[in-house]
Amino acid sequence: MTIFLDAVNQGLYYGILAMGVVLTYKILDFPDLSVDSTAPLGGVICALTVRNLGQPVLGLLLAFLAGVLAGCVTGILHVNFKISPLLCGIMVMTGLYSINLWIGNTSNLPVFNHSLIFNSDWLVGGILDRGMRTLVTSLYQMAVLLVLVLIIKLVLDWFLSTRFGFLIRITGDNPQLVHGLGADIGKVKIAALAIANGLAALYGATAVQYLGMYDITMGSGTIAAGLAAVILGTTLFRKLPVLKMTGMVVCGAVLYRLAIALAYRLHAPISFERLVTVLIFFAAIALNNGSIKSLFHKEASHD
Amino acid sequence: MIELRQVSKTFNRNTPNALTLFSDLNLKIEEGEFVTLIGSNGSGKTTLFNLICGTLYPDSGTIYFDDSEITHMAEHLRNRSFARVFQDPLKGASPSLTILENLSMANRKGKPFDLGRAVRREDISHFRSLLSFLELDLQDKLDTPVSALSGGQRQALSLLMATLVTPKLLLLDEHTAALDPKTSDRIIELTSKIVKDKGITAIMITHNLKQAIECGDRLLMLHKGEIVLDLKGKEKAALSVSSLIERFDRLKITGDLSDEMLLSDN
Repeated sequence: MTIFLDAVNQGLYYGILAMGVVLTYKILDFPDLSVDSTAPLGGVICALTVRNLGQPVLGLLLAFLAGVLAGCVTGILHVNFKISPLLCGIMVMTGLYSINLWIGNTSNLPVFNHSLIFNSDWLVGGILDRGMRTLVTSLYQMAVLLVLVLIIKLVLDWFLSTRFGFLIRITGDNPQLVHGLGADIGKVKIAALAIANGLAALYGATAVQYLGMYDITMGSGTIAAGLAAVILGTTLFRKLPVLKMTGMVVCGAVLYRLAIALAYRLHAPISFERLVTVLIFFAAIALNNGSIKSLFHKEASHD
Repeated sequence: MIELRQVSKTFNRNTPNALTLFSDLNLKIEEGEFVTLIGSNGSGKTTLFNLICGTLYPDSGTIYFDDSEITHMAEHLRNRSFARVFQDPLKGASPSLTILENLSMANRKGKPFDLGRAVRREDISHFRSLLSFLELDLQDKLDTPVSALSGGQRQALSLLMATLVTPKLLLLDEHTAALDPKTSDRIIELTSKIVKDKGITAIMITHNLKQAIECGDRLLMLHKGEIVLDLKGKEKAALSVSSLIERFDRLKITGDLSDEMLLSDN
């Protein structure tokens, strides 16, 4: 039970990442690998804020801003220096790794003894039963995450319904039209990358507070997890337009974490997390594009 | 209105494949003129549009718009006054957005795209009346994504979007070439009407000689980067498809004309 509650909680903060990834990968049509380093950037900024200033909410905000800056760098490399999306992502991802180490001055920073948005001691202090305590803690964390994710989702939905938000959608759809409307496509791309990386950093910051620990290695595989959530979400929930793209990918992220939890439950070794991730998004893509169906179809016709 | 002075453009400069398309090209289009532009493939029609729009910059020479120089002005800044409709119906609108969303964005052209609401309900009746003017049954499909429309419908929508905020210069780049003859005629009819009603200065590239003669009030023929024919007024009115072909003969360039051009004289 707690394992699955924990998976849902993790899914919720992976949802923040997924909302960033869907903005670049799906809406802007820009596969951005920089999130692999902007997530730990957010993590380290938040860990330092929590440790030195004791301000967990400020930690989230500063992390978001740092991510926005990193996203601007990716955008400027692409727009002003005409470097392909993939290479921009690789450059920022690689360079930022050193910067993350430099900022943190170390590769990991524990924060569990500090004030965090998930601290529930005031709530569970009086509960003596250990199991009950864990359950209430998990539910409290879920409530905090739901509020956080909902705020981000609603703000992002609003943003995407504005004229500038529509320009981002048109950029991914038909860049020629953006020029035609007299808008500067470069600015649109930079803004979208800034927001997406801001969200990735916010994910990193939330993860650090949830796990009670920052570690430089938390970044590697971020893009794969984000894509898995996006592909699962937009494949399985596309018949529910009321969720909007943002809601779909948050649901996708929760399902993704549940699938990973299920794999552990079925005694998959911890080291198989990445493989399970890839299998999940392979399955989602293959089911979505009908290739599995046609595979069976062919065999049937051969018989 | 728009003037090109001694414009030169060479592709693949400083390579063995260098191709000089324009050398010292001069062209002046007056305000309110509707120009049809013909020429075989490779004659420089689309490059001329790219130079005017700022998709390409000339190697030398200057381009003026309303007496101010725009030779190196960024494409998106020029597009606040210019509009272009492409041959490919996919290029004129955003396929995953609905007709209403596309029109709402086109309605903001030239103004800042800020954090205001993109779609305003109060615009709907205005858009609906514009769409019914197209007579393509689009007025009740405001919430349909553009990807679900036919090529002709998309091109009509592209034309409507390009002229929703009246542009100072409209560039039509073979905008009916991908359509069937009936739809093509309808789009040309709409084009002429919109251009005339709004008094837009327009240049239309076409491979259809009949269209080139019937539309507009000035006809240009481009050949290997040079303007070899420039007719207006009575001279243009007196043109027929056969006399146009005859003129090509007289210019001794018939041999260079593509089949495509000769075949589309119906």
